[in-house]
Amino acid sequence: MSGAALFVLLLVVTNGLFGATVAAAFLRFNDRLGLPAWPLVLAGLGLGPFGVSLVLYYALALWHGIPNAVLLALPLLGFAGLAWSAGKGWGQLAVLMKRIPPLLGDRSMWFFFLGSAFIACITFVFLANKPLIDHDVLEYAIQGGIFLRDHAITYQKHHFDATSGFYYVGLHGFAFPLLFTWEGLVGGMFELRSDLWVRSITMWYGWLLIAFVWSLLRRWDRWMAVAGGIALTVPIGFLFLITVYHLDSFRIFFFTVAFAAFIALLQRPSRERLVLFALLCGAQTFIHSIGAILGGLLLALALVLLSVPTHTRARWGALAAGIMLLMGGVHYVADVFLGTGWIFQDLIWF
Amino acid sequence: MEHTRTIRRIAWALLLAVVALTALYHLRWLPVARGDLDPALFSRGIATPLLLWLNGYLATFFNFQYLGVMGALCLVPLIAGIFIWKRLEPWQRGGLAFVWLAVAVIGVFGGFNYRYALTLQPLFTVAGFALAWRIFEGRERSGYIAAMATVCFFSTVLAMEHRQRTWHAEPTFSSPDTKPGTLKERLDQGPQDLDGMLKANGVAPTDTVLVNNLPIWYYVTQRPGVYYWCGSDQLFLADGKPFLFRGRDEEQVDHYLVDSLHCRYIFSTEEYNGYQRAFQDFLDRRTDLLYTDAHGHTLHRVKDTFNR
Repeated sequence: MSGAALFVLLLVVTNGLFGATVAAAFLRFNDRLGLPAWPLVLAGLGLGPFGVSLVLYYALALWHGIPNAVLLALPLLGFAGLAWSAGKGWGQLAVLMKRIPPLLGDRSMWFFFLGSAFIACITFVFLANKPLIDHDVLEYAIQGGIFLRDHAITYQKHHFDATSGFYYVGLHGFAFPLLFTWEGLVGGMFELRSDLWVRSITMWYGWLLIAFVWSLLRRWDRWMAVAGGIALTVPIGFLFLITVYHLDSFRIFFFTVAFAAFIALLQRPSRERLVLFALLCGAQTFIHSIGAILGGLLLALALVLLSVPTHTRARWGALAAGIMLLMGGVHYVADVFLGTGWIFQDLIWF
Repeated sequence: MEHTRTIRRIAWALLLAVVALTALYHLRWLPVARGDLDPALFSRGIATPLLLWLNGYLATFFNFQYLGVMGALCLVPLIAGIFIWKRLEPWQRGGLAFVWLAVAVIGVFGGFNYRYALTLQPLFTVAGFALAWRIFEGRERSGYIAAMATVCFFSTVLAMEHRQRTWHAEPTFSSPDTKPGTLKERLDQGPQDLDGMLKANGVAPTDTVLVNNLPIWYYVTQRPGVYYWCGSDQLFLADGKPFLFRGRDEEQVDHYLVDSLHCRYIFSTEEYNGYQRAFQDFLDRRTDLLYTDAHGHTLHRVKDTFNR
């Protein structure tokens, strides 16, 4: 197998199948969520690669020395279970997919399809010509490789690797480094070393972010979606967001969907919307420290402003906090008490 | 009716004000050459007190160079929201309060880094257009929405034009879009065949090398390194982050590197070397330059004195 074949395999399985599984699971509950289908599907698609990171995190943190075969099987089994439980959500997803071809007749959607094709071209050009060379992303890549080599995630005051002398200076959740672990793990099965798929994650989440904003604006007006798409994507910073390999598109996508879920929760409070909000907010927490801080603020504000009785507010608060911790927030608790101290130390800016 | 008309006029005035602001920002306030300005602050776009506010503390609204104008367009509605707080729905209050808190967090922790300020841009985009949809009707609505997109485009044109002027005026400006060479050469600024270069320069696979903030060392080689960042003068070791130069003279640094860290080679870049005077001086006086590549990566060897 070549690096390109591994890339296609991971793209189809992790982004496609796993993402579609979460999307179908969300759609299954959408009669109770009462949310627009497309934004919900896009949030689900985003949770495919993230879900893999989360499973690997718990596996490596709780079972040091876990065999590769088991580590590989856990995400597959987890998503297979979710796929089975998604039930009628698959039918709803299929109906949505069937609505895509007729959209070609809508001229406003041409901008979206052309833009998507352009991003696909950019992705191809960058993957072919730009290796991993930038500082931050290399830090994540090396740490992800160390997780795989050691078959363990541990918390210590200094993330120092005695074998190489590498010192991981990152303080954020491990969601992004664990994507490198995943590609290394699957590649290792075929004796391949590649980072093509993880490099494409930058563009994948950039595209999901555009699609999410587009799907929201299109609810008002299809041409306003075109204008909004232009406004979002033309700044230089956004161009860098989808071309410079980094975790920012991953982080900002989840921040944006979490904020949308926050607004939806306040508009019509329900237990299902609270769970969705906590899932998405927890996800952005596990990616970056700024997400952890903003996620804490979102949860606190939601609890203050929810128009529900006090005892419900308390129960919902505990439920949401628990879900956010499970979705990766626990990393920061562990890091503060068992590890580096997180942001409660002298920070060094690189 | 009159009230609605006033709001629409304000919205148009706001759009014109943002056009003027982004033009002033790119054409007057944002310098194109470093001059006497601090290099680190210049590269971050916060080298003057005004820019420290625009691109630093208030970057989520005013970093036109990287983020465009949607933040600036949302600023007045966000301020107005505070004054009509009691008339807002709970979800509007939640959104408003969160945005202000997020702006404060980003401004305090890292607004100078456009990547952090970018966090709120999708949110501003949806909010800005949704608000325009609510304020306007009919043809005026279409006109305003089209004008918003046009102003965003205009701001990016100004930013690109500013990059071109910087490229011509500032010799140290470096970016893949302005460098010579093929696309691959411009996009791949990493060291080429690092292992081969080390072997050619006599670095044995077991030799420990001081690695100045270049994690690619650990990604592409299996060689031991001592991680260091001259910008903060810190070594990253198993038990902490001690300083290398602080509290030591050059001879002591020499001894510490060779005798304690068993490190005779230094891998860095010309750009990084300049981040700390003491480090640069040490390289100049106490080491021999073995290798420099086209992208500025350097390999130095600590001079062999008394056959140590």
